[in-house]
Amino acid sequence: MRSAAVGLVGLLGVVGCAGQPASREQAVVDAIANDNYVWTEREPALVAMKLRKMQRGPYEWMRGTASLYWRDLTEPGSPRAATAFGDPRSSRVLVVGDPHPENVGTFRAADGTMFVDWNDFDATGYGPYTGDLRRLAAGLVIAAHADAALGDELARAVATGYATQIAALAGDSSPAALVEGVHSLLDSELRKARTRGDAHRNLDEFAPVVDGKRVVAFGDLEPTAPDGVIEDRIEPAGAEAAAFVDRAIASWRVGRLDAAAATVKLRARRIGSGVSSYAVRRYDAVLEGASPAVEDDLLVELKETRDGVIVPGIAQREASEWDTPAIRSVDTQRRLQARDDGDVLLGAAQIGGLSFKVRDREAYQRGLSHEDLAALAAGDATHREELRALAALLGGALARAHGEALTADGVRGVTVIAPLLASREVAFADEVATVSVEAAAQITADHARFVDRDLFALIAGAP
Amino acid sequence: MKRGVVLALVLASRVASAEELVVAADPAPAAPAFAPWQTARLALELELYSQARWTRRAGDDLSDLRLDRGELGGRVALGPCAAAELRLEAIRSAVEGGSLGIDGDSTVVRVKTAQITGSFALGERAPGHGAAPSLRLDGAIGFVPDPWIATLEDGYPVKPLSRTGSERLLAWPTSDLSALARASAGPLRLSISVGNGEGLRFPERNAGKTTTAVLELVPLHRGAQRLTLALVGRDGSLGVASVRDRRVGGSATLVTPWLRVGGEAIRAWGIGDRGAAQGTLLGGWAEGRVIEHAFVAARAATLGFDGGGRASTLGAAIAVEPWHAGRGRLRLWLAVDRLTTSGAAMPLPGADAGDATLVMLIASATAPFTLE
Repeated sequence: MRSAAVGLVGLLGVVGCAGQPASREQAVVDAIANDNYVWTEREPALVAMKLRKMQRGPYEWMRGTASLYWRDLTEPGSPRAATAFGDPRSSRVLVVGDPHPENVGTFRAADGTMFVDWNDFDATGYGPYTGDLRRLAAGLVIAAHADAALGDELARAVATGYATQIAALAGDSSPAALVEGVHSLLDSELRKARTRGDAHRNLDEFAPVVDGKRVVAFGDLEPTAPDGVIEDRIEPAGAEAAAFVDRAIASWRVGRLDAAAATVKLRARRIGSGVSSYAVRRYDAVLEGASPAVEDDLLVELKETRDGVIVPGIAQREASEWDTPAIRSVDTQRRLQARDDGDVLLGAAQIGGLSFKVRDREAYQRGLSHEDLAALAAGDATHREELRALAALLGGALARAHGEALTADGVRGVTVIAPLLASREVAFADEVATVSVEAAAQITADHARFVDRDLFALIAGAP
Repeated sequence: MKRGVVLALVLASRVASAEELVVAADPAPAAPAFAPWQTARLALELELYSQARWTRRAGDDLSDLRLDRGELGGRVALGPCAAAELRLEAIRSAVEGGSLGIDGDSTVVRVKTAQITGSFALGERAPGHGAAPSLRLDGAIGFVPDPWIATLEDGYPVKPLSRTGSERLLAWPTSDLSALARASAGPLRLSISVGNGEGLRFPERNAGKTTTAVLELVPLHRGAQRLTLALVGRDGSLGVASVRDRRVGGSATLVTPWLRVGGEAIRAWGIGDRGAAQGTLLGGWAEGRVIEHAFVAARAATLGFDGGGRASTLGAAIAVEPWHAGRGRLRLWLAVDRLTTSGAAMPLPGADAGDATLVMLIASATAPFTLE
């Protein structure tokens, strides 16, 4: 028996072609290849640009590798740090999925109130709240280019802000949206968003008025970067895409706008936004609005959406709670934000195999920049204190999102999270600081490993 | 230890064979150790396992109805030595828990097996072995069933309860775009397949090929009693990163009219798409006929990772068989399955989120049709 086994293995050595030795590089390439498989088949040039964009810095790398992050966190088989603050119920909390600092942005509610909240719901799903929390803290550490001491402080500030907000929610405190007056950086963003939104800046940039009519400003709104990455380009949609944009708008507008107001005047493809979602299809459309006048035209974005966070190995139904990825994104945005009217145009449309999230594209919505956080970190003590305060605010905003939204079991998140943190806040901050700084170090090391490589050749290396 | 296991299996076979003598007065004549080449002009088979499942876990319980397996296969003879075979299976178009599917999350049909097969007899026919030649060479190309999974399933009577441990815990693909060569002589059979290694989910994504070799020995084959021992070796790669997919292991299955038992042991280097993961899989199953048309069954599989941590499934069932004819059968099962994980095998270390107990009412049907 033994000799037969040896013979078999010897035979395989002759005939077979073994896989390469296991390595971190292999795991990264495999995850990125799988994450981008569909887009690589469909539009490889965009994937190549996305990868080059990821290589620009550790923060961009982090933005482009959310799926790798969740895989590292949840895939059985590799040693991972066990959390002391988890249990089955808290593993089914509604999570943002990718709550890094640049996925925080401004919104204008239906009553005109401007507020700051999470603004990217592509990766939402049910999962462990601790996964979201360490992603946020790691993002802050990377954005701030933090050394060990500052990184530890920022991660602890996130954890403390989170635990404080959870305790407040458990005490029946009503959560408040982040409005003007809570932080100078957020105030600045809110003011810019209001000013530019009131001026219809995005609409006029996309389709300026020429001789009394709007026309699409085809071309590069920003020059192509030296690394060949398209930064912001408007292209004709093409006949087929134009037809499905119109069908998507016709389906989306029901219950939001009457048919006349939702008449599509102009449509075009937009390339250049995002990092993780760089290669997805995005279309901007100008709608008629309340009257034929150009002043009340509306600008909406249709963005292709895919599945979000799915933790493998957990007993669950075959079917998702949501009919389509875009419906998930829309529903979870309303459930995770402090106000459910932050985008009155928010909706979903399904055209064939494409699932589109539709949202207001006007300048009322703008995101934070990691460069602003880096500037705070590089500043004096006052600036660093502002950064720590911002970290605590974002930790609190994440806690509010987790705590208020219903979990997969249909209960408020706070009811399953609060018992795990009660009277253990210091230990909680210790754990979050440790795992977040480690996650940031892993992301930075991964970026350094691939910064000079032809990443597209690695992931598209099929014969 | 190994000798002890083999001895126990042989003894069990003898006990069962005594019972067989009571049931069947005329023992079947000696038959070839491996199924002879099918000469039917057309063979069809329908295999359906449908289940009502209740899942008990921490938090809300779940209940749903599932089509665990829905397969339809057809085989058309192309002369006396060749055949074309196509087998389709039903799968969900979205991943479990996801919503990006076809027309919602429809059940769709995909190709599971699509192969051209051939068979050639060499040498003189062995006296006393029916129509079996002394050496038979078989070959297949296309989407070919994995020889290891096929070997296991050949003696695995509890498919409606669970996939084999190799398939369920090691994600061993059931078929692959590959070429298979097989040689059978008396009680020995050697199968070697060389394929993409990506299974059904992807076309080839790297330059390497995956080779699987299975050596089977049938030391006991008398009437309805059969003992099969098998060794497997596999070496290859998955995905663009050429994640290693290396396996060595073996299995033993014993089939008697009243009892079917078996077990598998696999050492794995690279698990799923984790090249660094290593572990050892142990699995076992048993099905016994209590009375005519009534059965009890149990199965277990456990995968231990080298870095610590274990994923295990343990199930038991009772079944009734209101109808059977030849290979065709209809069964109703009441089954319970327990899933546990620990350490590095946990989806979320420290959170115990992977543990669950499933209670399932399963209807399984296998319906073959042959046109000679």
